[in-house]
Amino acid sequence: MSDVVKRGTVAPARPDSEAPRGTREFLGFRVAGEAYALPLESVREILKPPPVTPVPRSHHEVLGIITVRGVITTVLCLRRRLRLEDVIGPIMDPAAVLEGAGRPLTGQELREHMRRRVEAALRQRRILLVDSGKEVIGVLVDEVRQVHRLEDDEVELAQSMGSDLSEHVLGIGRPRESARDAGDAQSVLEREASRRKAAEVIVLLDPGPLLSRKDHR
Amino acid sequence: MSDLRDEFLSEAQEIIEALSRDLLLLDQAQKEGGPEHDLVNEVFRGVHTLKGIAGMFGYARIGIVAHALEDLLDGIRLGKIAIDPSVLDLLFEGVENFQRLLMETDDAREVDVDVFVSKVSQVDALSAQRTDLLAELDLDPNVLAVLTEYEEHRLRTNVAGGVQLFRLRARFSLLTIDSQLEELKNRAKMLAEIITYLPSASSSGGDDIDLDILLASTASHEQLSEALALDDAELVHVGKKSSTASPPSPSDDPATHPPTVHPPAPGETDGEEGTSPPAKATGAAIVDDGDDAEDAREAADPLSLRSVANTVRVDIRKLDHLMNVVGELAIVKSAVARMSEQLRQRPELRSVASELHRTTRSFERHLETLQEGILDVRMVPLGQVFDKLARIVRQVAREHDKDVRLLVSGAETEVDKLIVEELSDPLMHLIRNAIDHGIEPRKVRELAEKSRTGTLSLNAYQKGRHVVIEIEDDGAGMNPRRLLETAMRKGLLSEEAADDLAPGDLLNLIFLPGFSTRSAITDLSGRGVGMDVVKTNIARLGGVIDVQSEFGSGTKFTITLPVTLAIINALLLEVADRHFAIPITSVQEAILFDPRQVRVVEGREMMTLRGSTLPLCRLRSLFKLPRVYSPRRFVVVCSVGNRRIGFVVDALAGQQDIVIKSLGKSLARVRGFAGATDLGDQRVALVLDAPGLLEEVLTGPELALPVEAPA
Repeated sequence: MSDVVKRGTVAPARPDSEAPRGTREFLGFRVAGEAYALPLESVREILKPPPVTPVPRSHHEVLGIITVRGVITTVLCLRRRLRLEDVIGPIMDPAAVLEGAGRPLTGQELREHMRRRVEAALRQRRILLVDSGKEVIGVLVDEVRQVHRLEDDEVELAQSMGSDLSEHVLGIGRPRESARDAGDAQSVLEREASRRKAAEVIVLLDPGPLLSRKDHR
Repeated sequence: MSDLRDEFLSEAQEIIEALSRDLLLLDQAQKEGGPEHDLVNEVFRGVHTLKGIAGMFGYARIGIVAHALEDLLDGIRLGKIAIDPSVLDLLFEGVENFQRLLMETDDAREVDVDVFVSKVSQVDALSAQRTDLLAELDLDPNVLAVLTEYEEHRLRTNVAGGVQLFRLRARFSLLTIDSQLEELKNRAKMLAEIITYLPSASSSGGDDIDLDILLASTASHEQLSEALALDDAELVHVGKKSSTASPPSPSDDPATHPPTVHPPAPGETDGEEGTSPPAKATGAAIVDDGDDAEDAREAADPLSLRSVANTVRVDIRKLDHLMNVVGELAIVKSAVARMSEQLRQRPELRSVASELHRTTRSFERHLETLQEGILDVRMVPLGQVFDKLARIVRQVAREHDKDVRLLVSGAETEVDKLIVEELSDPLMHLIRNAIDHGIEPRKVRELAEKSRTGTLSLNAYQKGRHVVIEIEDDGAGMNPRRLLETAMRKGLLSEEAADDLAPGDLLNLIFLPGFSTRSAITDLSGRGVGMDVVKTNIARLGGVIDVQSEFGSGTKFTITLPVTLAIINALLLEVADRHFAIPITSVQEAILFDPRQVRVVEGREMMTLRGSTLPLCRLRSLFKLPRVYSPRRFVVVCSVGNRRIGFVVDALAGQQDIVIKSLGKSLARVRGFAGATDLGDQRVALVLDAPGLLEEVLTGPELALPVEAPA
C-alpha cells in the first residue's frame, strides 16, 4: 500500500475509510480492447463526450478542448497516448461483421451493420476527468467498466516487475474471483465465465506520469 | 485560516509598497534639503503596523527587522540621527528584507536578520557619540526634560540649522488665553517657529497665567519683539552656554523665574489643567495642530483599521468566477433572444414575442452594466508597478554609481490587475537595461556634453482600447552596426540574411533569443534573461514591444497592451469549418479576398491594399487544416503596433463579446492562441493570439530561427 502511494502522484483522497485496510479502489475501463484502470480517487467525473474542438499545432495525443461548466479542459486520446491499435478498424472489418450477423449479408446490409456497430461502439465512449495533480485533464476511453477493489496481494507493483514497464504504469491488477460472483453464478458455464473474467489482467495507470508529459503539443 | 493569511499577505504587501513610496519621497526630500517629518512619521506608522500584523501571523523575522527599523526611525524623528544616503540605504534594505521575508522566496533564507539589526544599532551608536547640541544650550534642563519628542526634534533641527532661539515670557488671561495664543501664533508665524510654550508658575494674579514660549527665528531680536508687539512680554535670546556671558537662566533671574517651574502652582488652575503635568498640556495643544509625533505610535493601529474599512480586498479568482457567470448569462441571453425570434414567426404569439423581445433587451443592458462593473473592479492604476520600479531605479543607479533621474507620468492610467502583475518583470528588466547599458557613466556623459544626471522616463497613457507604456532613456543609444556584428558572431544571423535586413529591422535583433551585446556579464542585466523573454512575456499579455534608438542620444521602448484581458469583443471567423475568434482590437478591417491580387514576393504572399503592401497569411495552411470549398474568402486585416498582416479565412461569422479563458497547462506551449472561448451549445472556439501570430509570420524563419544552430 505505502509503495503504491509512493509511486503514485495522487494520494488517496479517502484513505481506507470506505474500503477495508490494504484495499485500493480503481476505476476500470477499456481502451482498444485492453483493460486498464486508474485510481478511483483521481477520477473527478465521467462525461458523455461533448463536441471536442481540435487544437491545431497541438501534440497528436491531444484530441482537443471541451468546456466543462465554463472551464476549458484539454482532452487526451488515451489510445494514442498508450500507442494502441485503432479500435474502430476491427469493428468495421467485414469478416467480423459477418461473423457477428451469423448469416450472409447483402452489400447494403453489410454497410448498415457496420454503421450500427460503430455507433454502438461510439456510444460506449466516455471522457474521464482525471486529476493529474497539476491539472484536470479529460481522457477519452472506449468504455467504462466497473470499480475494482483490489487488495494488496492482488496488485503487482511495477517496481517489483523490472524496469521495462512504462513510467505511467503503476502496476498490474489481478483480481481474484470474488465470493459474490461465484455464489450467484448458477451454472457451471456461468461460473467458468465469471472465473475467467476475474482472472484477467488489468493495467493500473498512474495519473501523474500518464498526464503530465511535457510534450503535449 | 488561510483566508486570513491571504488577507495578511495582501495587507502587508500594500504596506511595503507604501513604505517604498514614502522612502523614495524621503530620498528626494533629503536630496533637496530638509526631510519632511511627516514622511518619517508615515514610514514609522507603516513599519509599526507591519510589525503588529506580522507578529499576529507568526512572521517573527519580519517583526525583528521592523523593530530595528522602528528604533532607527525613532532616532530620525528625534533628530538624533541625520538622514543621509547611508541611513536611507539601510531603510531601503529593511523594506527589501520585508519583501523577501514576506514572499518566503529562496533568498528569504539569505536575509540575515541579525546582520541587519547590528547594522542598525551601529548607526544608532554612531549618532549617540555625536555631541548633544541641546546640552550646550543655555536652557533650563527642566524645560528640556518636559519637551515632547516632536518639540525636541524641532528644537534640534533649528539649533542644528543655526537658527537663533528666543524665550518669550508673556502673561495671558485665563479667560482669553486661547484667542491670545492664536493671535501670538499668527503674528509669530511670519518670522518664527513656536517650538513650545510652558506655563511658568510665577503668576501674579489669579486670573492670569505666565507662559514661557520658546521660539526659533532667523530674525533679529528687535524685529521679533516688534512683530510680536506684546505689552507684557519679555523676549530673551537663548544662546549657547559657552558663548554667552550670562549665567544659566534659572539663576539669572530667580525672582521672575523660580526653579520650580513645574508643576503649575495649585490654586490658580483648579481644573483639569492643574492635575495634568505641563508637558502633557503642551502636548495636547500641539495635537490640535495635528502633527504630534508622539501620538503616531498610538494612532497607527486605528488609522490602518480605518483605511481598510471602506475597501474590500478580493481574490482575483473570485472576479474570474463572476466573469464566468456573466459569460454564461450572455449565452442564456442569446438563447432567449433566439426563442423570441422564433415566437415572432407565429402571428398569434406576436404580442408575447415583442414583450419578450423588450425584456430581453433590458436584460441585455443590465448584463452589460454588470460586465462593465466587474471589469472596472479589476482595473488598477499602473502606479502600483511604477512605484516598485522607482525603487529599482534608485537601487540600480546607486549600485552602478550613476546619477539617474526618473520622470514618471500617467501613473494613474488603469489596466487590468492581471496585466499589472505580469508587467512588473518585463518593465523591471527594461529599466535595469536602461541604467546598466543605456545611461553612460558620469565622465562619459560629460565628454558627450550631456548633463551628468541621466534621465529615465516612464510614460503611460491610454490610446483607444490600448494602453501604451514608454520607457525612454537619454543614454548612449544602440549602435546598429554592433548589433549586426554581435548577431552574426553568435550565429543568430547568416550573412545573406544580414544583407536582406532592412535598416529598421536591425534594432529588432535584440529580441532574438541568445542576444546580449555586453561581453562581460554584469550582475544586473546579464542574468540570462534576455529581451526575447521580455518580448514573449508582453506578447502573452496580448501586447507588442517596439524599440527606437538613436546612437548617441538614447533609446525608447514602447509597449502597447490591451486595457483588459477578461472580456473582449471579438470577430468570429471560420477556417475549414472551424470557428476561431480574433480580438476586435487587433482587427483593422475585413475585405473580400481576390486571388488575382495576390503577388508572391520571396515566397511570401502579398497583396496591395490602398497603395501599400499587405503580407498575407492563410490560416488554413498555417494550422494545416483540410481545404474546404468556399465560394468566397475574406482577408482580415490585423494591426498590432505599426505592423499589419492579412489573414485569409473562409468565412466571417459576426462579432461577439467573448470571455477569453486560458488553455490548460498541457497546452501552454502551443503557439498562436491566446485562449479559448465558450460560444454556447457546448461549442468552443479558439481565440487567435493576433500579436503572436503576426510576430511569427512577419519575422518569419530567417529572423526567428538560427540559421545553423551549433550542435
